[in-house]
Amino acid sequence: MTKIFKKYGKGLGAYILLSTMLWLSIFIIFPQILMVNYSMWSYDDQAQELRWQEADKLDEKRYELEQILKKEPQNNSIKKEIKAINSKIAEIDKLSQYPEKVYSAKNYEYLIENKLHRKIFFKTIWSSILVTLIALIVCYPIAYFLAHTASKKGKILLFIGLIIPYWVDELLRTFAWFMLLSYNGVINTALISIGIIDQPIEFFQNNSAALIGMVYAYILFMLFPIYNTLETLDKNQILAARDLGASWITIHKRIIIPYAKPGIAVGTIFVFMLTAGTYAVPSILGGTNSIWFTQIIYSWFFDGGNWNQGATYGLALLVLCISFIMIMLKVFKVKLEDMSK
Amino acid sequence: MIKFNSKTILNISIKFYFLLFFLYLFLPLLVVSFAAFNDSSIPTIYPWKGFTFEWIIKFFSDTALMKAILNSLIIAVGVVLLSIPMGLAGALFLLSVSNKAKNIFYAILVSPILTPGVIIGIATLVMWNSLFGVSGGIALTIIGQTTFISSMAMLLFMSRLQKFDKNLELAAFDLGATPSQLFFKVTLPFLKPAIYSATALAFLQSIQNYNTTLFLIGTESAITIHIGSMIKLGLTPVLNVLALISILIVVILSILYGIKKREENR
Repeated sequence: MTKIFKKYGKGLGAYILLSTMLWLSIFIIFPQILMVNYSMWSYDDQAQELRWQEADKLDEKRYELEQILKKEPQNNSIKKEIKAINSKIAEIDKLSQYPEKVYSAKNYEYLIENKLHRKIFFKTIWSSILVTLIALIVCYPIAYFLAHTASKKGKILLFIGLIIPYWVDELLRTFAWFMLLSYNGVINTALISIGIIDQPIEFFQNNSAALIGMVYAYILFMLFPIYNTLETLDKNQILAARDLGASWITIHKRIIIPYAKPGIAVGTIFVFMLTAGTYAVPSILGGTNSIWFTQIIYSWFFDGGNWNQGATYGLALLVLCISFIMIMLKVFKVKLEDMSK
Repeated sequence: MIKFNSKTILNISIKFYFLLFFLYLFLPLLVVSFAAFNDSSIPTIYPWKGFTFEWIIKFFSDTALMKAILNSLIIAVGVVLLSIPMGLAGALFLLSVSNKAKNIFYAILVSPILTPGVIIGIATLVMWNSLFGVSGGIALTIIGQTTFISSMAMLLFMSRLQKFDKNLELAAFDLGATPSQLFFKVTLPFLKPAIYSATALAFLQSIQNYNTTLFLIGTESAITIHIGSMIKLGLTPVLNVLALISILIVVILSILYGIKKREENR
């Protein structure tokens, strides 16, 4: 730590230290800790219920006393009793505004026991893997040829062609597919006019539209990392292997793919994480039959008003993504630190 | 006569594959753009009901949309102002700690990029709500987005700093520069290109962010949130005009980037 002050001087060193610690704590770590904390408690509904019952009873009693008081307006002991009941009810009201938090595994149990939500969680996993695989298979040849066979001029042109769709907003790109895939959309109209189908295909009613949209939305996150690593590969290695009689399959298996590993790892992690965490694509391209896990999280927060349950679901998604990252880093034998290269 | 040996076949199929891939990337964008001029009340290119500028006029008179764009610009400026100094501080911090500490801090500081945006939104909302009772708004959106956009900026600064010539530092010290003089007169000017690209990246990432913003915007509006609700409730070709304009902006920026890259290569 003293190295910081030595290297940057007092003022600048203090700024660097303070700013980084602030970012680390208030922006990154504390929110996550609080989210985990939120997932572990829930409001004590039972205590709340008992309180309401008591309040009802008190209310009844007060009514009876008031009837008596009407007959004998001078009865001071009843007046006192009513006053006591009033303050008790006020106390209950106050308490029920701040219901007790109870720590339990209730939220987790709910997620595990809810058949539909569990199914959607697993659907999120397999479809994210599917989208990632499709992106990898489509992008690998593109990245390879772009890095190694295109001329310098052509490369820049193709590169521009790739960053244009990459930088167009995700929602607008998804909207494009909404236009293409909708019931009276471009694809259905074209297929009908060619005569391949008679009835429009309802893409939104199954997961197909959402999956198509996800591949389209995130495919370039696979392409760029692989391209970046392959661009630094020495062409002579490939030429040497070819001279020594290696087939192109061997060349890819032994030289190119091992070299591209960090890029493949980064691309795979990004596409998986973006797909598993997407809200835009399924909410635009999904029908009532294709709900995504993120949509359930959203509705816990803003429709259901149960933030604790929502935090639990969010944590499940986070754990899924962290596990995937760990597995990929292990499979590709890549370290997190190598990823920024 | 063309000889169809395996090499030409390979070449043709590569070209065909590229063509297909680029068609796949660009056809949807073209369809969206053209529908902006179709005189139809719903966004479509077929049936073509005639050419119109009506939707472009309606786009500029849509006050809710303009408000959303303005909000997004405010958020983006806020995010840039926070994330560039913070990302830079993070990068400089990582350069000056021991290797073991560096790996741990690096993993934490880069983790927001690897976390789904939805999670960052939830965590930020939960913290600010339970500690300060904030339940959403422009400021909270800036905070949430800054969490991960700072990480992106930090990575850009780190990769630029890796190219930093240590001799410059030694020369400055030999000439009697103080650490802060070294920073402001040598390091910072060296980082200038990275500051520009980090600013552009932060701005674009902020404007286009949806997942985190969704949880943090509260009752305010932002452009992506507005687009989302336009698609679901009240879809008109005004959205296609928005798409057309943003595609044009991206195309112009990309071409400028390409020209600059070509000049650098010469």
